[in-house]
Amino acid sequence: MPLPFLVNPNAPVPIFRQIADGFRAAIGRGGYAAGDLLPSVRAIAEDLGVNPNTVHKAIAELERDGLVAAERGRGMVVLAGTRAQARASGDEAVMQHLAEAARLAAAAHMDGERFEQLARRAMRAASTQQPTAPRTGASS
Amino acid sequence: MSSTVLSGTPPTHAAHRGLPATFAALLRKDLRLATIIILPSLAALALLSLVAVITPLLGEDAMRALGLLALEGRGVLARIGAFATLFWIISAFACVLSALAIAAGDSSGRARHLLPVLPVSSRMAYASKTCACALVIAGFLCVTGAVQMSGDATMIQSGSIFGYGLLLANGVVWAFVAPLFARTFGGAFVVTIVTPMLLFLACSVVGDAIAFFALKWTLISRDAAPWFGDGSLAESGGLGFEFSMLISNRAWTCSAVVVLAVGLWCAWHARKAVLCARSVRGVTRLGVVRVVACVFAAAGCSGIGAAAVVWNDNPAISRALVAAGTYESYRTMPVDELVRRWGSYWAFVDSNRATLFDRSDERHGFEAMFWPIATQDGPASVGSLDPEELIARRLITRAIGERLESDPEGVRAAARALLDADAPRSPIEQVRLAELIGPRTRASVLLHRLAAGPSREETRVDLIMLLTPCLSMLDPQWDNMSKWRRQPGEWLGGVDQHAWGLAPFRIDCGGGPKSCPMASARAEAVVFVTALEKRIEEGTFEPTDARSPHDRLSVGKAVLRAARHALEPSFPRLADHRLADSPWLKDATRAPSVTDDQSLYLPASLLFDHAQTDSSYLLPTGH
Amino acid sequence: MNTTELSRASGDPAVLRESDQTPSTQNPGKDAIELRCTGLSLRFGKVRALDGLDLTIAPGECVGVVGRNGAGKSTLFRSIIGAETPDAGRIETTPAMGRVEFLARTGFVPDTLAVYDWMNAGQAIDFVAALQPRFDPSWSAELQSVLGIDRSVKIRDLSRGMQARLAFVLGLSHRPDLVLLDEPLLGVDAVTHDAVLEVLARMRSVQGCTMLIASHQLGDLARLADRVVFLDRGRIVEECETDELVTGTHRLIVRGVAEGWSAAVSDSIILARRQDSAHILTVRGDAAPIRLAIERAHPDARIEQIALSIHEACADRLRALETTP
Repeated sequence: MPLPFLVNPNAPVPIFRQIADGFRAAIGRGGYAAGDLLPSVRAIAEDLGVNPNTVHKAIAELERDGLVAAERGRGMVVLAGTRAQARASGDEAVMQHLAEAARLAAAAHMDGERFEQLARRAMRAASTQQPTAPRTGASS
Repeated sequence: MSSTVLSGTPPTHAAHRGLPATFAALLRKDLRLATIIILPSLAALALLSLVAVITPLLGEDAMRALGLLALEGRGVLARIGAFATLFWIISAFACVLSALAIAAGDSSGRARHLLPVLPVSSRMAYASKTCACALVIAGFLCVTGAVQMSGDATMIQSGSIFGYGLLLANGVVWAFVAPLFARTFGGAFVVTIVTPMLLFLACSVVGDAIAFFALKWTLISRDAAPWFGDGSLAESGGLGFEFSMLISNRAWTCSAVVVLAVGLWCAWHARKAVLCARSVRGVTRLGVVRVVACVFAAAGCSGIGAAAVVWNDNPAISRALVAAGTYESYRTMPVDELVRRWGSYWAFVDSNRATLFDRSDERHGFEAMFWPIATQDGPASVGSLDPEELIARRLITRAIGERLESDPEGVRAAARALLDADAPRSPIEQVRLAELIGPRTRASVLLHRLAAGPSREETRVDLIMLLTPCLSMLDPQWDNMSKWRRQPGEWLGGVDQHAWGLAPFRIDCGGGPKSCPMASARAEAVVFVTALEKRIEEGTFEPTDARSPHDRLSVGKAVLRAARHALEPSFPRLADHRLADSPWLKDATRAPSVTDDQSLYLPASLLFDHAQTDSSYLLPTGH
Repeated sequence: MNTTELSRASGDPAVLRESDQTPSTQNPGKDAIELRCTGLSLRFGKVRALDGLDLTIAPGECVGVVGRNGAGKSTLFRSIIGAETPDAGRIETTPAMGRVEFLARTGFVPDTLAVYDWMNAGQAIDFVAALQPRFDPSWSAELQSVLGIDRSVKIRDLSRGMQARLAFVLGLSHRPDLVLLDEPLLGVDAVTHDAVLEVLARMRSVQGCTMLIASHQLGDLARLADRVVFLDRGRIVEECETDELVTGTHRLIVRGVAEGWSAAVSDSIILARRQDSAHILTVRGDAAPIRLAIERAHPDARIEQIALSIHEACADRLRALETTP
């Protein structure tokens, strides 16, 4: 299947991180279920038109974060585990929305401090609304 | 998609096609580079042939205009052959431009980055270019050669073949040098044409100057310089007459060969540029220095080569070398032998001159005898001589002159011995021997011979002509050494008779003394003898001089009288026979005005205007 | 792209093993070439195109070359490939090989298509095929189809994008182990751009070839290069891992300091500019020490930090080179 994300070489984020984040988001959304094989390094590299070393780096980061593991004879498999998924989903979901908010802030020429202020205000508002939402430590 | 890609196993390489196929691909490409030149050239040649074929159909005027009239009826091939020269010219251009297209086609075009990237050895790539070039040249030469053969069977000289080949070789070789200096095709064209021409010019001019100086200094070191040309080489440092002697076809050929050698050397260094492995660099100081050094080296080689060729070829140089040897032998020769040689040289000259007289039918009589003698002492003495004789004369003259300075006694003794010897000698030989002793001796010898009564008219003419320079002895400002330097008639007409202490005289010949050289010569001889007679009588002429005691005038009154009588008769045999029928000759009287030719029929006394001439000069008519 | 075929073949054991063996810098392909340039110098008249250039490319590595126009990029490529003869210096490879073998294993894609004017695309490809011993017809056919080459078109009639594509085919059809690309994507359209990137990524994945790319398209360098070197006036003045370039370059916008203030000179400060009433410092590496130093010296200063993309990171470095004597 085609990769569900793109990389933007003109973003201030290194590409390997964009790939890792892309997979993180995909795993978080459930695009890759536990036990699914990630595409091969070569396939990812060709699909995105990037350096295979970059892909290696991205997958190494995912491996370090405990989201995937190498399985002999098969490739990289997505690990089972609520914790992993949750972490992925948690971090990733927030990041996705935050990214959008950050774009809006940049368009409004808002500086970082103001953005933090707003984010904290939003957190406070959100935590009052959902007292049972687990605090995953996803502070800015 | 093929499974080989997906599997990721090392791909199977395409089978290596082998060297011949690679070379063939390169050769095809190189020939294709040249087609832009080949096709139009072939078209031009075809057009020429077509013109030759259809000319008869256009009528006689067309045939005449193209110079084919003589070939009417000889066939198509002969007419095409008449254009052979044009074919050669077009072929030369085609070959050189094709070479340029092949050599510069890669480096000046878009494919500049294609060839050096391909894994072919540079040797193969360069060989492909040279092969392509050779094929093109061979093709054009074959076609042109065939045309030449079918034309008029005029043999082409080997010289023009060599020259054409040299020109073609230079064009082709320098085409392979051009990519080193030019990035574009146009620039390469300019380099190919201009560079060898400039180099050739430099080699020719500078090389010729170098050759000249090399030859000059070699001649000087061999002591042959005074004997080369007119002898001015040793003194002057300049280029002039000798310079034009040296510029010859051989020297130009030398330059062309040197330019070709330089071209080959440059082409060797331009290999990488031709194969696009090196681009044109800018002008650097080092580059300029190298170019200048190369030009001078080339000019030097060309000069030395031309000098060597000229050294072997030029007859003047070999003559000069031989002369140097002869001169050396003269210098070491014993004085008797040298003086004898001096005498025999003039005897030889005299015998040659006599032969001349027999052959000369346009110039009649006295005149044929007159001019060679008259000019012997004068300024124009060398103009009529061929180079061999000129050198021989200068050799012996200079040897004698030097010997006179180093051993005057010995020379004079030898000359005296020869004069006193009994052997018969021509008057000229005697005079030259006598001159070694002194002018008085000279005069004595001449007067004695005149008095002895020469048997042949030619001899009498000699004596008269040789006598006139003795007039300088009567000059009040004569100092024993001054030489006679006047043309016939010049003295007679211009002398200050009073200052010289001469009794008045005047000749009567149409146009004056200068227009009557023969009459003047005879008159001058008469004046001399008469005046000398008078001075000896009066005792005003010194028979000898303190500075040169060996030189003595040893003539007495009787000798002088006899000499004067010998001067009197006319020269009918030597005169122009066509005048023999003139009426006044029968009367032996004077015509009112006499031309120089007619004067030969008159006795010496009748040459003078009796009204204005002292009677001492005259003899009564009838003697 | 290929992922559909890939999933179809996912059951094939050969494919699965392959993913572990995709070449990387830690594990270069077995035919990869290491390239070493030492002390390259070249003068065109008075201009020094190369001035003692040293560059080493590890086997399987991809190096990007960035520099202003006229910095010597093209001269460097031409020297490596043999289209130019340097005045001094050496170019060596590991494994050592002769010139012909080196050219057979090297592919060069120049910025302008190098081919004879009278040919059409097909003849050009055949010409190269005849002269490249390692020419792979199937790989070439694949390249031609991926890049959409029409063999019958004359060279004269090719558009810019088509020229670039053909240049790729001519330069890469023989599966080179060393790939040199000199501004290969100047002014090409988006479709060509993507197709070419796919091909290059494939070559790196499958073969693990060593690459040297010169490009002004910094995004492409971000994608493909392991390392970026900066070329200025004929020598390498800086080199950096690509990711480092992005993560390790920040801009600090400093407001509230005096007009004439200038940051203390430090190795980490690449560039210092003024814009409106603010000072903009481009900092290499960790920006925190500089921030602290400024805050300590000027407590009233307001500092903001921006992460840079590769484009700004390179641009600021190039601006800095412009001002250095």
